[in-house]
Amino acid sequence: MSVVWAIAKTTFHEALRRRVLNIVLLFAVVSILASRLFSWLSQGEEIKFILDMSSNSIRFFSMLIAVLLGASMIPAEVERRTIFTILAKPVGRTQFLLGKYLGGVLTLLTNIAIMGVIYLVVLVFKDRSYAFNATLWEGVLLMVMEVSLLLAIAVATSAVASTPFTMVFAFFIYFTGHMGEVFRQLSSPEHVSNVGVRMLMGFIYAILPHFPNFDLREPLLLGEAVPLFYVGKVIVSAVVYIGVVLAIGHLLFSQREF
Amino acid sequence: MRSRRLRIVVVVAALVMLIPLSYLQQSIDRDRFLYSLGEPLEYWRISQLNVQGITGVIIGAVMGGFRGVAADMLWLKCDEYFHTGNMQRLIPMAQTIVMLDPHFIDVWTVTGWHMAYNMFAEAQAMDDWEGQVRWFKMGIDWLMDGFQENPDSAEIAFNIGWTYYDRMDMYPEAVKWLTKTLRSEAPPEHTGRLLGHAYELMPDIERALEWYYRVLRVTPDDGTARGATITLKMRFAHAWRLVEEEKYDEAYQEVYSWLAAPHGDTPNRIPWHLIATIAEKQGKFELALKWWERSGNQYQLDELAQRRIHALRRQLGMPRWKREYPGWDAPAVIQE
Repeated sequence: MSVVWAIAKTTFHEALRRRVLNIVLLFAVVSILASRLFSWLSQGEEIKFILDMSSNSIRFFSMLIAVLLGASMIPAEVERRTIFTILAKPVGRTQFLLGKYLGGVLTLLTNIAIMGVIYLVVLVFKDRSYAFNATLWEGVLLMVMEVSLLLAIAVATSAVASTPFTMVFAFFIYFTGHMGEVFRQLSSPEHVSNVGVRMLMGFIYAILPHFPNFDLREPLLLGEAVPLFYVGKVIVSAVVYIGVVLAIGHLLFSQREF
Repeated sequence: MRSRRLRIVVVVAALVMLIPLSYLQQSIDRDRFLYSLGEPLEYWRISQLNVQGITGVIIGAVMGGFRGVAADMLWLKCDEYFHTGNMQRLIPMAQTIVMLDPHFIDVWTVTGWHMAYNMFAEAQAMDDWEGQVRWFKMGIDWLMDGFQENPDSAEIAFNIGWTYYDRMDMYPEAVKWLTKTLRSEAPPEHTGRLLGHAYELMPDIERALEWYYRVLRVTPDDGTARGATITLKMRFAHAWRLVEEEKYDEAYQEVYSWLAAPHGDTPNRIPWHLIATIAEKQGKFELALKWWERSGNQYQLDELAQRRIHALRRQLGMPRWKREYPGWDAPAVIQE
């Protein structure tokens, strides 16, 4: 475990020094602050605009950080040839992969915490009551789970693929995961008559991560409470999915020859 | 060999885990629907929309999860279309916005008003009655769609009631929706008074009085409600009781006497609606028609009178009615 933790810490410190991730974080902060400035776009419902734009900014930029970070983790080690030194020591490939992933999660948590604090400040200045809304923080928690899952997908892919391929693949999975409803509809006889196509669409719908389930923007804007068991179910599904993805990643990584 | 077996076990375990995971995800999808935690966006509907404002930027914003921001941006574009008189583009744009954000109440109410008022007025300027009816119905249908998406919205329910009341003088429908507005948490404060107005124009004087009294119990300083209770009681409450007792001749005489008496100003629509309704109840349809025409000639926007005129003229086999404005000095009573 100490090996995993040591790799995670190193990954975290490396990520903090990466300029591209800091620039993305800067954009996120500017975007959250801009939500206050541009709230006039939604006159009479300024708070709705701030909640909507800020929470989406956190989601969007965290997603970018997860993909950029996850896609370059292992290929960068291979390119710098540091992976040979690490794996030559008593470090298993599973420990290496887990350490990398945990380091990435720590980086994401730090970035989301920074964005969350700015979000909180903007909200406190506009309407204090929203800052302590349970749905808002449940939404942030699910957002952390969402990007952790995306990071797992990126890390697992980067175990065998190049950085550009991993980035394209992770973005593809993210956007298709948001369009799960399309696959669900296409798997019903109402929309498609061909049984083969229907089965394929049904299979894609079944195995794709359903990213919209992590989004609590609507109940937040409507001021509705979210049942705790719902949050629990989404967290469980994310944890299981992360486990499955990392297991597949471990398998691919262990097969890889350097 | 052992590590290979372990790898196979890991793969099989991961793939087997996908089965309960799939069920779990689908169960979460159902919960999401049941607890109204978010409606999935039907992406393919974007291609069906005839909107030039759907740019790559907006589609990108939607795909990135910024649906609300994209809706706000399009709403600004709608505002621009409205002020430049580009009405034909405004409606498809509004359809796009509510697809992105079905809880954008302003889009439902303002677009509904735009259909039932602005587009209605354009058809009216061209003397196109069918066009007016079509735009009115489109406005109402739009608002009803909005209410279906937002069943707790007092604003939309009120707008439906108001559009029935003000645009087409369809008072029973207006009463139904205004009452629905009152069941919500924050109804507009003049809803009760509007219910009183709807009942007096219907006419149902007793219920109108009941609503004005209810308003006065909540807001004793409401001058309109106070004035209405006094005038209704003084002028028509007794006549209405006679109507309810089916003493139509006496009721007719009472309202007629009030209209014939010198008041110093032209009466509003209430006594004309009342006397025309009494004449209809008496079975004197030609006489009723004359009273409805008296009101319709005086008030261009008296849609109830216009509907009754069209219906009665069709029933009596008479040609289409053409409005003749009598001026404000014309006598309040008709030549029987």
